[in-house]
Amino acid sequence: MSRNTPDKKGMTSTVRRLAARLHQCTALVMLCIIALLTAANVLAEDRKMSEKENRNLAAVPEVSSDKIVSGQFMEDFEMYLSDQFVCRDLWVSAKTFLDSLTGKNYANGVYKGKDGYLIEDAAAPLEEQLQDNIAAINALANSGDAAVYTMIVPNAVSILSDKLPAFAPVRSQEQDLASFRSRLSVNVHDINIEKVLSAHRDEDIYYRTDHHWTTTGAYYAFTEAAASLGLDAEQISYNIYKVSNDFKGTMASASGYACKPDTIEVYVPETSSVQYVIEYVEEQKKSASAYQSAQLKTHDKYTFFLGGNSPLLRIKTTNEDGGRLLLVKDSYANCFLPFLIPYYKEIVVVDPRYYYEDIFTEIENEEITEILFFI
Amino acid sequence: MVFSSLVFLFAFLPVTLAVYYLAPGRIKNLILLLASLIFYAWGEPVYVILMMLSILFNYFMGRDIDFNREDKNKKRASLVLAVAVNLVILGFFKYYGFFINTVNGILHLHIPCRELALPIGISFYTFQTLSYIIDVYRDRVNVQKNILHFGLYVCLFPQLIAGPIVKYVDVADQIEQRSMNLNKFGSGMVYFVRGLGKKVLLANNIGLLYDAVAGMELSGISVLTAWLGAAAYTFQIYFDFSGYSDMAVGLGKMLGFHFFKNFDYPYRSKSITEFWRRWHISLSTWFRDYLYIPLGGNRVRVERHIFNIMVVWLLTGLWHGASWNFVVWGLYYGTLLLIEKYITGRWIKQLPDVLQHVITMVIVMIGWVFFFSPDLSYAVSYIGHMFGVGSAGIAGRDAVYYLLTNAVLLLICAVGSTPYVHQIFYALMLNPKKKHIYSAVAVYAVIFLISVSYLVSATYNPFLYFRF
Repeated sequence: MSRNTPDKKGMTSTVRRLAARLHQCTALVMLCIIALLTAANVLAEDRKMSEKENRNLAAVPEVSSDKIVSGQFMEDFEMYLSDQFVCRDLWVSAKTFLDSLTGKNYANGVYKGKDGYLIEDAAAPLEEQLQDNIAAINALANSGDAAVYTMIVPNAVSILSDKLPAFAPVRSQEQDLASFRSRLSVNVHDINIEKVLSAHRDEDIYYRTDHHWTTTGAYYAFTEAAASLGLDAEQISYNIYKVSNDFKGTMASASGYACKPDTIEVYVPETSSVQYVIEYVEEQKKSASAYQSAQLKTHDKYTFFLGGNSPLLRIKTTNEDGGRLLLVKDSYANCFLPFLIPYYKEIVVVDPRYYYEDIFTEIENEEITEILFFI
Repeated sequence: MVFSSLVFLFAFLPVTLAVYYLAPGRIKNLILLLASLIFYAWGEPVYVILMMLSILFNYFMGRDIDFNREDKNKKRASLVLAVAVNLVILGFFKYYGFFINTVNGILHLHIPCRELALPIGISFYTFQTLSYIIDVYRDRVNVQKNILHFGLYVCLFPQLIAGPIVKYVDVADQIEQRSMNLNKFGSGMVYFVRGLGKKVLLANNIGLLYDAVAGMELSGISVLTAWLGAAAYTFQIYFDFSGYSDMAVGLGKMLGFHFFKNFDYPYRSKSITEFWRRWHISLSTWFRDYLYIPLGGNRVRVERHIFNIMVVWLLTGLWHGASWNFVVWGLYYGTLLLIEKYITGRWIKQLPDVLQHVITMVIVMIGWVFFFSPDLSYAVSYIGHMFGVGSAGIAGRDAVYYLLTNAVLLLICAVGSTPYVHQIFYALMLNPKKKHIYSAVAVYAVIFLISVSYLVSATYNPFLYFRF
C-alpha cells in the first residue's frame, strides 16, 4: 500500500507508523513509571506516623491462614500499601489542588471559603443529648442554689456565613439556637453573644484553619458575658502577644487543603495584680498559668490553652472579693477562661465529656454561687 | 482485586507482567492461570474454590458433550445437565434470597433465609462457560481438551470480574497462540490508562455528586437537584463500567489477547435500539446469540416476537441484580424497544437529530433511576421529583451550589461521552506534519499520575479532635 492510501480504518501508512510509535513510547514510559514507583515503594523506609494526618500509619500486616481466608490480610495489605505509598502527602496535596481546579470547594465536610477560611458545616444537634443537657440545666436553675447562665458559642459557619463559597448548602444554626433557647427555663440567664460576634466579624474572631474561635473572638464574647455576670470588663486592659505564627488546625487537617497558617494570640492583663493557681485534679498537677507553651511545639497548638481538655480544674485566685463560679465547658472555653479568672475567688471547671463524678457535690462543697454553661 | 487499586497497579501488575514476559512460551498460560487465581482469591479467598469447581465441571461437561456427539439424545441430555447446573449455581448464589423474600411476601410466610454474599464475577464467568458449553454442543467450536487452557479462558483476570463477557469462540485460538509485541502492548497500555482515568477521575468524582444527592431526604430535593443526581449517576455508571472494560481490553492486549469493545459511545445514541447496540455490547450479544435467536428472534409472528423480546429483557434485567428494580428496568427497556420497532420508530427519525438525542437520553436517565434506587417506591418518587411532582421547587440553594461546583466536571463528562475527544486528540497527535506523539505520551503519563494521586488520597484519613 502506498504511503497515502487510507486502509479500512481510514489510516494511511504514515499515520499507522506514527500510531505504532506512539504506542511503543507509551509502553516504555508507562512501564518505567510503574517500575519506578513500585521500586520506590519497596525501597522506601516505612513511616511510623503521619504529621499531616496526625495518626499512626499502617505497618506491614501479619500473615496467617486465618487472616487470608477471612480476607483480613488483603484489606490490611491494601491499607499498608496506601499508607506507606512513597511521598504520600505529596500525592494528597496534588489531588486537593486538582480538585480546586475543577471548581470544587468542599472536602471531608469542610468548605474552602473566601479569604482563606476553612469552614465546616454545623452538625445537627443530637436530640437525646440535647434533652439531657437542657433537663440538667433547667433542674439546676430551678433549684435556686446558684444563678445559672448559658452561653451558646455559634460556629464559624453561622457568624462567617459570608465567607462561605457561593450557595454552599449549610445547615442553618439559627433554628437550632432558637429552639434551644425556647426550651430553657425562665430561671436561666442566657448570654447571647451572636450580635457582638457578628458586629466584629471582619476581625479575626475565628481561626482560618481550625474550628475554634480565636482569643479575640473569645474576648468579645467575654465583654458580652461580663455584662450579664455583673463583672466590669473595663476594669482590666490587656496586652496582646503573638505566641505562634504557625498554627494549622483541624480544618486544615480534615480537608487536606493547602493553607496559610494561623496566628495564636494571648491577652495578658496589664492592670490586674490577681495571682492564681490551677489545679488539674485528675492529672494531679498544679500550674500558675493557664497557658502551656510546650504545646506550641505539637500538632494541635490550640492545646496551648489549658493543655487541652481536663475533666476537672480548680482555680483559686488572690481576689478575695470575687464569687465562686462553676464553668461547665467545651474546648471553646479554653481560651475564654483566662478572661474570667481575675474576677473570681474560685472557679471550678468541669468538662462534662470527661467528668463522671457528681456535679452537685462539687457545687455544695465548693459553695458555688454562679454556674456558666458553655454550649 | 480491582484494577483501579494501588495493590493492582504497584504489586500485582508489575510482578505478573515481569514473570509472564520472562517465562518461556509454553508456561506462559500456566503463569497467567496462577496469576488469575491469585487475582480472584485476593477478593474472594473462599469462593475461588467455587470457581475452580465450576471450571472442572464445565471442562468435563464439554468433554462429555463432545464424546456424545454422535448420539443426539445423549448429547442433548449432557447439554441440559450442564446448562441447568450452571444456572442453579448462579441462581442459588444470586437469586436465592430474592426468591425466598418474594415467596414470603406473596404467601405471607416467614421462611428464614441467610443471604449469601454474591461471589464476585459469577454472573460474568457463568455466562462465559455457558457460551462454551452451548457452542461445543452446536459444533461451533472444538472441545478444549487441555484443562489449563480451559481454566485460563474462564478465569483470565482482565475480564474475570466485570467483563466484557468473552465468548469462547472469540478467543479459542488466542488461548493457544497469540502474538505479542511492543506496539500491541503499548496500544493496550493506552487503553488501560484511558480506562483508569475514566474510572478514577471521572466516574469516582462525579459519583460524589450522585452520593450527595442520594444522601438527601427525597422530600427536600428540587427538580434541578433530582436531574443533577440522575445526570451524575448516568455519567458515573458509564465511565465506571466502560472505564473498567477499557482497562480489561487494554490488559488483554498487554498479554497478547484481543477482546471486542464493550461500549461504543452509547450516550451519542438517537434511539433506544441504537443505545443497546452501543451499551455493554458483550452482554447484548450474548443474549442475542444464546437466547433471542434460539427463541426465534424476529423471524416469527408479531405476538411471538413480543414474547421473545420481553423474555430476553426480563432476564437481562435480572442478570443485573436480584431485585424488582432490575426486573422493572429490564421490562422498561423491552417495552420501549417494542414501541420503537412497531410504533414510533418511523416518525421519530423525522425529528431533528438534537431532539432524537434528547429524548433518548431522558429515557436512559429515567432508566438509571430504577438502577440506583434502593426500591421501587423510591424510584417512582424520584422520577416524580424530576418532573416536579412532590419536589421542593425548581432549584434550591443546594442545587445551584452543586451545579456550580460540578459544572466543569459535568462538562468534561458530557464531552468525554462523545467520540470527538478521541478523534480530535488523535488527529492532532498523529498529524504527520507536526510530530506531537511525545505530547500524547505525556498526556497518558499525566492521566496515570493524576489517577494515582486520587487513589492514594482515597485513604486520606486524618485523625481529628473534632468537637473536643
